Amino acid sequence: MSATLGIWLAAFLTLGLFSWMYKENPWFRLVEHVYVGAALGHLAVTGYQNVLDIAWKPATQQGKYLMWVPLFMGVLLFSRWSRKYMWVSRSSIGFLVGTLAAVSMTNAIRAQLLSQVAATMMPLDSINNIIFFAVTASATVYFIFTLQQKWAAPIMDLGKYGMMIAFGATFGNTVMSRISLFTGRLQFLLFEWLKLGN
Amino acid sequence: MALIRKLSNIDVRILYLIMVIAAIYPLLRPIGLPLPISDRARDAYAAIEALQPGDLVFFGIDYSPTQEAEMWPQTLAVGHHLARRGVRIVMLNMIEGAFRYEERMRDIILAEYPEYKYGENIIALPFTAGREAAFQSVVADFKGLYTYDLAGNPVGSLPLWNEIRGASDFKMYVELADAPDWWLRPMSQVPGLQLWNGTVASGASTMAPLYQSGQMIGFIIGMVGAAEYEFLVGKPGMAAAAMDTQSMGHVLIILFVVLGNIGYQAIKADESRAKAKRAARGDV
Repeated sequence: MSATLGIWLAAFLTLGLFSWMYKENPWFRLVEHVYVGAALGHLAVTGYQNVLDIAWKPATQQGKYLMWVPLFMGVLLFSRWSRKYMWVSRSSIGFLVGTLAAVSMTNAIRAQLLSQVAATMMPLDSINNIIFFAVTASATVYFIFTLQQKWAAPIMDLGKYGMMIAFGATFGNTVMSRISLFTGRLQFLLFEWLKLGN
Repeated sequence: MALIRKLSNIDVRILYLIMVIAAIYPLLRPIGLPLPISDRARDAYAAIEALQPGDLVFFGIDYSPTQEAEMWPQTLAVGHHLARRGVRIVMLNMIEGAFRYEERMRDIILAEYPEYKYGENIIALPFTAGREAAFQSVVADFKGLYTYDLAGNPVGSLPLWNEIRGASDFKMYVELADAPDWWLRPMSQVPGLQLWNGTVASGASTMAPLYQSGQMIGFIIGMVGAAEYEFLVGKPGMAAAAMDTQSMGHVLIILFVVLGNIGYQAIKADESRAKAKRAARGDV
């Protein structure tokens, strides 16, 4: 029964979103608000559960006293609601930004920058490799903004066209992704809700 | 020219309607368009096929319900393949909401593969906040990161957990994620750990360079990747069934783009001609 109710509710919400294709209407707006509200509600519950499992229980029940530090810093974040004490939250935000930046930067240099540069060092013994090398080099030249020599213009153009092809491929992939989502919803409506075919 | 002008002002809802019909028809009456399996999908399959029974594998499920259409078929196909190989599976997730798919896949493996016993050769771990920082913790101190499993059991009570010393015990990291590369940056630090990724089509351009550079051993993309993988594991499912619709949708969009551009150029040329005529008559 609850499964059936869930399917009907999901169908109602899906059709509400699809109704935008006809025109903007109250049904669509209702579903839009439900979607945003549900997502935020889910995030709040997950966040609460996280604090409970990852910090509160270890701090209060397992003697992991170090967990009081992130708990305290988390509480400081709520000072943003007060104009007078907003500055108190800056230390926590600074810690969060600093930690994430440090982790990302150190990892990115090795995993992305160096590995990607190394991957472009390839023997020029095939058309693919030559294209790969030429586009990589010319796209890099495109971003040397102090280079205004006439001789560099064709190289920059090659880089520009290479990037345009890459943007086109990215857009094509995005279209494919959106059609997949649309197809997934249609499969739900046709097979799970209306039970047509299998 | 009148027809072209009329078409250029067509009500967009008619285009939506055409798209909906083109998408629904092949779902109800499959056309059976051929689906060639790409070398990329074959390589991804071969990488998992090369795993030996008993190898330890991370199975990361990191996507939200909005990406279910592309990612759940991938999860099913890859999950079945891993289970068939008899590897020891440690499931984990680092995105809010992904645990539902982790639970579903865990239950499917336990129901369909009697050789899998929870805690002995498969574990499902709970959501961990922090994204890249959380993955960094997996690398630095995997055992210290978790206290309970997804069902709330203390991890110390699970025999498989007690056999694991750290992330370096694992042979492969299979990550099914909706695009981001923040899992790869930390995980690529683990010596000897092979990286394998399934992602959404819109994230392909982010991840493809990392596959081309050899940093990942396997890579599948979107619903097409899922369909290819379903065929490779011999379990055609929802993704395979959706391929006709996918192809029809793409053909229609290409057609709309081409027709739209032809119309635009034709109208532009007509206006130029009209302007030239007016200039010749001295009307301008």
